[in-house]
Amino acid sequence: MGNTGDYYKLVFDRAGTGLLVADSKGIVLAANKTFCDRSGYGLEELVNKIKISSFIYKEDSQRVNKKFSELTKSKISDDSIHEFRFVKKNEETIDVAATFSFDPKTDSAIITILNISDKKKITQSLRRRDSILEAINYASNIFLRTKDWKDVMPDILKALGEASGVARIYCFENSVDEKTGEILMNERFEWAYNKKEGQINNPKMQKLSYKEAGVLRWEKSLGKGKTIYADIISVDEEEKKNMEMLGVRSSVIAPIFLNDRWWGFVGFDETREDREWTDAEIDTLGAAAGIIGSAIYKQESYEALTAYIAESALRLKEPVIIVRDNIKQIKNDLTENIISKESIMTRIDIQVKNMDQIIKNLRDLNIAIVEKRSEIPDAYRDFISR
Amino acid sequence: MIISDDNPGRAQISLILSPPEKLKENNIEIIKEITKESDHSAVIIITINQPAQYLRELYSIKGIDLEKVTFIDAITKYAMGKADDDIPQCIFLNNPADLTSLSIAVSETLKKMEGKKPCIFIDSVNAMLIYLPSTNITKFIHFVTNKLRIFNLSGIYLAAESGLDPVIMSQLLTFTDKVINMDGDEKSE
Repeated sequence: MGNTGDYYKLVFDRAGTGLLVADSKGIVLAANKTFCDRSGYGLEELVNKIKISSFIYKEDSQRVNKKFSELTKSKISDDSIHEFRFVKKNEETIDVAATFSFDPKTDSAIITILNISDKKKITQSLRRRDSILEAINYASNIFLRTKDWKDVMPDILKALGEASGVARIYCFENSVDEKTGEILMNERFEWAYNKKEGQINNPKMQKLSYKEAGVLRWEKSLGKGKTIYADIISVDEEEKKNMEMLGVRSSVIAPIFLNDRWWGFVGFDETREDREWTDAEIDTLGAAAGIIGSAIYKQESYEALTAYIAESALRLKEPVIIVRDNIKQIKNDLTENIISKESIMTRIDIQVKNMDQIIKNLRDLNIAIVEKRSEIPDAYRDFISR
Repeated sequence: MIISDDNPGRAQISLILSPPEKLKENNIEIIKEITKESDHSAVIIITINQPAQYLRELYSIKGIDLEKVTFIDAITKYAMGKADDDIPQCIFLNNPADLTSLSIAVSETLKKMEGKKPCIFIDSVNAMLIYLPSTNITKFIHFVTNKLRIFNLSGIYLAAESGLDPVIMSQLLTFTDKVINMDGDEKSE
């Protein structure tokens, strides 16, 4: 092995962290291989030719340059870590953590640059996921307190939109084309970061078939309960055309199910930038759709129960009272003996028919209740539908 | 009292509420009064609960002029499978749930009675509920009301008090000019 200086050079060159030496004005005096690789610059392009401020993203430069100036002026070292966006030669930005140490003997600054892009993305993603979970918690509480889920959907979409940091959220309900049997999507609610980007007033967003929209794969996947991720680079031509028309870069589309019935979907669009969605975020957005589905299902069940109670009172209780009163009258007619036997027999037959109809009404009401309720066991379903 | 009007030129549509156990007696009282009215030369009874033959016997006993009474009987044929077609001034329908046939029967009967001023009497809204969902009943009442308004005819919808849900009741109130409670209370227009 060589002397100590050789070792120091070896450490400098082979360090996994980008290392720079700059003079007090910030002009690069030396850079290691990792820094060159990371920045995209060759050593000859850096040394004595470029200032470290050139690597700092515009919005972060004032803060970071100020700190660097303070250190060089006071000629002290600082242990603090400074995070900023680092601009590479090809103008791509990465997130970095830097330290600035000042060496009074050589009047130069030693700068370490650590790429924290992946860590930053994970942190941002976790923060977003936590925000979405908070929004879901908010939605659950609001849904529990409200009588009509539709009243609070604008607030809930806004909370989800702000938490997930997307540009637009929309909720579509399915309907069926009576002529063709095709499933159609109908926009019901929307929130947009920029209201001009909203599509809810676009008539094309009503009774739109999945095929016509170029998203036939959505129908297949969403109908099976799968959440869809779409980015403009990887989707097929038809879907790409749809995304371009709406200015969408990437989307997450989560199905809304009412128990096991596919009701529609909630979509999250990013229109402003390319965005990588983590699995955790996508799962959380799926959970948000689940909360919306639960709220709709809860209300549908409540309304069905209320309708059942009201209609059963009308079509069961009242008719039974009518039959009871009719039978009392028939008894009176028999006692008074002024009405012909034929008329009385007809009245008795009518009461039998009325009772048959009341039984049919009960069966129809039960069928109406059970047909949308898959949680009712088949044996019980058969029994009450008979 | 029931069908007379402060404004004799304008026909009235009334909702009459009766205690359930007095529906039959009140039916007789109303028909007696209508047939006595000089302005109302005839009555068309849409009956869903009691057979026309039975009502004819009752009216006859109570001295009602049967010449002034026409029946649209929606129940006898359905319950018995047949009906006596010899009964005068009576149309029998096959099924009380068939509102199309009922509507046609109303239209045809009105046409036949051109020149007269018949009153249409429905007995009863509650009995219709045995055979029809509440939404269909309001559609039918709406149809009858429109006919009455067009021809400036009177109408009476008989119902058991407290036997109708608030939604049906509020819809009936929008169709009618006044509500008469056969216990004595009269609410107007």
